[in-house]
Amino acid sequence: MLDKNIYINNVSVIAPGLEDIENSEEILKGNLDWLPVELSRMIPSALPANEARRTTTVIRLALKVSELAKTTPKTSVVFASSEGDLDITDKICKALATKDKMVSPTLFHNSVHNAPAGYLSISNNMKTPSISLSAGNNTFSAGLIESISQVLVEDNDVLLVAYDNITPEDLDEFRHFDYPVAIALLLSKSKQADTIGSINISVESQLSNVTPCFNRSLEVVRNGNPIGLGLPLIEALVRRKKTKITIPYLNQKQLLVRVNDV
Amino acid sequence: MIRPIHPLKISASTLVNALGVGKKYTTNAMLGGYSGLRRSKFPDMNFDTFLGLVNKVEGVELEDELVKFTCRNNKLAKLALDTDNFREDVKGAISKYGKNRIGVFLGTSTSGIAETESAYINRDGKSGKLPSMDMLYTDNTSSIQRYVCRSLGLSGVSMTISTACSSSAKVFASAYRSIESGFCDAAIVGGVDSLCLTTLYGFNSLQLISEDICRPWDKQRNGINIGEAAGFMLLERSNECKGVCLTGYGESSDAYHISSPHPEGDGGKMAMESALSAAGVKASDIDYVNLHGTATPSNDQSESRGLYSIFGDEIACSSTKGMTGHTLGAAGINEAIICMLSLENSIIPANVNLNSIDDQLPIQVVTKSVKKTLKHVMSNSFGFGGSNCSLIFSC
Repeated sequence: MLDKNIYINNVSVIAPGLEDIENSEEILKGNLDWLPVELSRMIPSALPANEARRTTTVIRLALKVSELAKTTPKTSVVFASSEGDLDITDKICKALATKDKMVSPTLFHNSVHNAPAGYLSISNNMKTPSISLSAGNNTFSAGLIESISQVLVEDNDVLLVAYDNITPEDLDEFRHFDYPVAIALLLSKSKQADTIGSINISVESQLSNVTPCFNRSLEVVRNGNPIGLGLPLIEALVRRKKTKITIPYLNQKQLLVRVNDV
Repeated sequence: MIRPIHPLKISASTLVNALGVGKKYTTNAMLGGYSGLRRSKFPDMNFDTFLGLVNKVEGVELEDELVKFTCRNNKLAKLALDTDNFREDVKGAISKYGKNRIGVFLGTSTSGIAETESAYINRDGKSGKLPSMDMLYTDNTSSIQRYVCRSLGLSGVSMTISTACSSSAKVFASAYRSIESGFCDAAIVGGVDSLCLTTLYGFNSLQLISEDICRPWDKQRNGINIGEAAGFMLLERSNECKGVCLTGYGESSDAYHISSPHPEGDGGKMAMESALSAAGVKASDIDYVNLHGTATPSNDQSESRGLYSIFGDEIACSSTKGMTGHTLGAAGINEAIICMLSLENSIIPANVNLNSIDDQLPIQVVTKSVKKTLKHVMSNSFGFGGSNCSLIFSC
């Protein structure tokens, strides 16, 4: 089944300097150099105000990149994040180190790895399945594998939302990322009106060179966050370029992604 | 989706929970109808509740070359891998499929966060610095998956699913899809969640922890008892349903509230209906439902209503969380193995710790363990964020 083409209908990226859609497109096409422009507060537009107030930076990062893709009530969602919300881990662990150990209920229910999935389902009234996963530094690849297996086996279109934020100060020494990065890809079994390209993937054991970013100024983003590893694929899709992309995966494996024409 | 789905045979399994190290202790409790929950304390915990502790985890040591994965969660995983002949069974599967073709799909909610909690508690008073730790190998959600792959010598596709209390139920769906689409030929599925202050104090802050032993479906039920568990299964393709097989799964989202279930159980209902459809069976074919049954007032009410809308009031069901506690990210696999043991040993396990059953709930639970030949059983797992998963096992 893995030789079947999977159609990509939308790609979006949020990272410092990659928030403005038109500017990002020029950077991803290699026409402009990337510069680290600080991210906005990323207010989620579809979430009721009382829910939006409870969101954290990580949840807003995941929701914002999802908003750029057109989902329907028939879209399933795969959330992929190495760390989830370390700001919350930091705050809860600080509270647990005090004498009375008072943990905020809102912090606790937001601490689950699938908190962004919960908020997205509420904001878009999506009752379809969603999954939230991690595979450490290879989380983007694992998210792509799960997304493709869902497209091949289930009936729904699939939105992959991959994201990791920077680490709070106390934990930065133990798990450092240079930039927050979020990537969303909307995948389907058949070609649609807005299809921009198609891919198929295989897991390879032979080590070959990992594909760097086409725009070399983006290499610091690719290397500065586990989700950055998805950028060469996004570039190829934005450039409508027929090519092969190699992305690192776990256990000395690599994902070979063949990017094909529509 | 192809319906009915191709069955996946459970060809090996192992389980550790508060009832004991190994499946036989859980089988015995299912037959005898007793609880493994005890009024106990966890270090640095200052409120009263019952816990489903696995005391033997304290003495476990990880393999020398994997020592940097050391945390309570991975120690609990090792205890399960070393039990019920699981390691040997996996070796057999490796010789059959190759180490690259067996996928690993595991669930956890808090992974090795206890290590990070402990670092904050032991922060240097003068410099304010945290003691050194390797978060990617302990705290990270995927620590369990990378530890288990290394410990079993597997290097196929793998991922850790973390959707709160449905985590290790949803691993079955991911494993099925990966096998079906060709990423692997067989799969290890499982889940591990260990006690930590984050969940103890977190659930306590939401007033969801009972000071008393938890009493699912009881009139006076007032919350959960947290337990810990580790369980694994080896799943293989099977042309015929020989032994116990996974025959259906269904997933849905409530799209209702971040930490409360839909009051009418609509999300759970969707997951159950989808599982029945995937298995190609009717509601009346299901012989037993292992409930999510957490013993919070809202869960049991929501679940019973969802269940009633599908099964009417004629279904045999029970929650086994009164025996093991709510094992959170490991609840899916803990109760999947309980379903497998139900089928293998022809037992409908009792819903324990009941004083007086809540007659306001539209569905009643089994109060005494019953010996009965079973064909199809269902397991429900519902989590925060409105993440629902129902599984069907058949023999």
